Amino acid sequence: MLDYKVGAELLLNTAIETEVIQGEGVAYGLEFLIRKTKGKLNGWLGYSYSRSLIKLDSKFNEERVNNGNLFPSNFDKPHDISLVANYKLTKRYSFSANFAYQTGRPVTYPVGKYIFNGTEYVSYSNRNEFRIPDYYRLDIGFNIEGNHKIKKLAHSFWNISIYNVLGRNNPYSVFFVTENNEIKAYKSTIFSVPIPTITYNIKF
Amino acid sequence: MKKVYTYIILGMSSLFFLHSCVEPFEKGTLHFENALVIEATITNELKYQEISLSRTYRLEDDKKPYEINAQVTVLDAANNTYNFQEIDSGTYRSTAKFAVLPNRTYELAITTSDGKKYGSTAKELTSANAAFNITTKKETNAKGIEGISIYANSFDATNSSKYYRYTYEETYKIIAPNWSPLDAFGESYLPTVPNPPPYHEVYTRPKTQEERVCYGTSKSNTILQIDTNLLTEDRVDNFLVLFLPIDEFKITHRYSILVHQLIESPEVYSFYKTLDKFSDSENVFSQKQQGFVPGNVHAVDNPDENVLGYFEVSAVASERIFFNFEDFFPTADKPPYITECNIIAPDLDDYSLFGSPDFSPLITQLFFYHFKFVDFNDPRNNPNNPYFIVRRECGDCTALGSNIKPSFWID
Repeated sequence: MLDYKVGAELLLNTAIETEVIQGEGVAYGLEFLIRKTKGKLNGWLGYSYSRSLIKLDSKFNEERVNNGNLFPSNFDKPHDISLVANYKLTKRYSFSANFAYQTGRPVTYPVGKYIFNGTEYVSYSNRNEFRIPDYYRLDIGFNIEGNHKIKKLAHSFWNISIYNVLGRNNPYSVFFVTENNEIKAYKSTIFSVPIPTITYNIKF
Repeated sequence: MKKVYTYIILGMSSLFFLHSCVEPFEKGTLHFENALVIEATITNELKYQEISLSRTYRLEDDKKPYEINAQVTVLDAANNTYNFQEIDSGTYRSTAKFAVLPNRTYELAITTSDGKKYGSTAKELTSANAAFNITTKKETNAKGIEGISIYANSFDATNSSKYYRYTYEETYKIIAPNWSPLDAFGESYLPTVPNPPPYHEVYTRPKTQEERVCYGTSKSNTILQIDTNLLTEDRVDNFLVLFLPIDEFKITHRYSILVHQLIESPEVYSFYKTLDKFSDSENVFSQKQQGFVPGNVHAVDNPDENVLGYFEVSAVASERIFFNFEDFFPTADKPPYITECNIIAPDLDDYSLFGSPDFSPLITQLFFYHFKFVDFNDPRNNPNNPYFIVRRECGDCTALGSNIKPSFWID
């Protein structure tokens, strides 16, 4: 597996190969899936436990990360739960819900400041020592099917749903920027409020 | 109907733009890691060697905590122990002068006041074969600013130095422009019985210390280094150490710079190179891989404790030069003084300013804001404004430097 050296800068870098280091990667996991296809209530529940670790060790300081110990790679999200449920109220009306949960991805935090050589620097934690907040989201929906005439031009239905009904402000990424010698923490999020949608679907 | 769809589409896309955003993340949730910071460069120069110890501090703080009451020693491979004692908070100086010898390894050993032990890897003196000198040149830099460049030059015929780092100490003469041989003092009398109005008095006395000519000092705080690996010869040719613009306050009168050339090991060079990447400002588009920058110091009992800094054993060469402003710019205007010197003549009694007759504007400026006496005002025209005064930096150079001439100073 490849990862970056501390201080690596990729934008407009013509020698990226000098900024990456190769290390041993370890990945393992387990997946469960329960599915119900028949009946008024159907859907599935999935859970996966997966790890992705990396070890970057070298006799050179600049090529050693986290003292040569195994640590979570950028893709390490151990827990992932997804639940999809549909409930048929009548032949024409049905209700559905979707729930997703993921462990937050690993992140390197600034953990303090220090003075060295007369200049102030930011000290960082070990690589990927922390995690951004966990991700979870619940969506609900309601389906209204069209009439059941056999001779129809097209099959159509209405769907009313709310995306992220809990309005959770799921950070997509957390990052730190040094501006004028001051460290600033930012998070980027997408759809942090419940989003209602109405769609009209046609199948032909 | 078409219009309605357009509105829906517009509404949907604006929702996306409103709610996909970058916003400040709560700083309060961040974790603080208290780590020891070691700055230790010992050299082959015979002197009292110095090591400084401090600690990391919180992101929202701005005070550097020193590591005090630690036991600091340097051990060499010949079983010599060099003890250090704390001369100032966090600054440890060797109890005797010593110089690092070649072909011998040195190690740092620290025991902090809480009993934790820290050590370093064994380091050997780097090559001491480079011939070093500095040169100055009056020139216009790439930004079109006229000034004086200070260049380092070095050559090692044995091809063994390779990694160079430069540090410097500047010393410069300061002459207070509004100096006066007199100091002003004032007293306010606030009688209570039988309630006469308060009155204020000012007087002057000759100065008791030198406040006209002082010497300011400052040390380099940027990482200046270069390697000669890709060159055919181990030569440093006109490496710019410092550029002093023509309007630089420090060169107004007489200026001196002491430049040190430190020969580094490749590990030290790469440590500073990584550190230097974190010294300039970034923006959202040029993200750097952040992380702990490992040095060669560690906690003895816990290899996973992060310790910052470096223990460096370097060959050093130094050169000092002096020059006057007129040596380079015989006809140019002197650089402006470091602050504006507005001479004012406040009222001795003016109740409107502070709303109370207990305070005199003149005495307040002299006493609380340390303004300095410049001259007497004409008493016939201005009986209530007896003195001209100026802010302290303009009348008293000890606000900016030391009034003791350094021992190395040559006029």
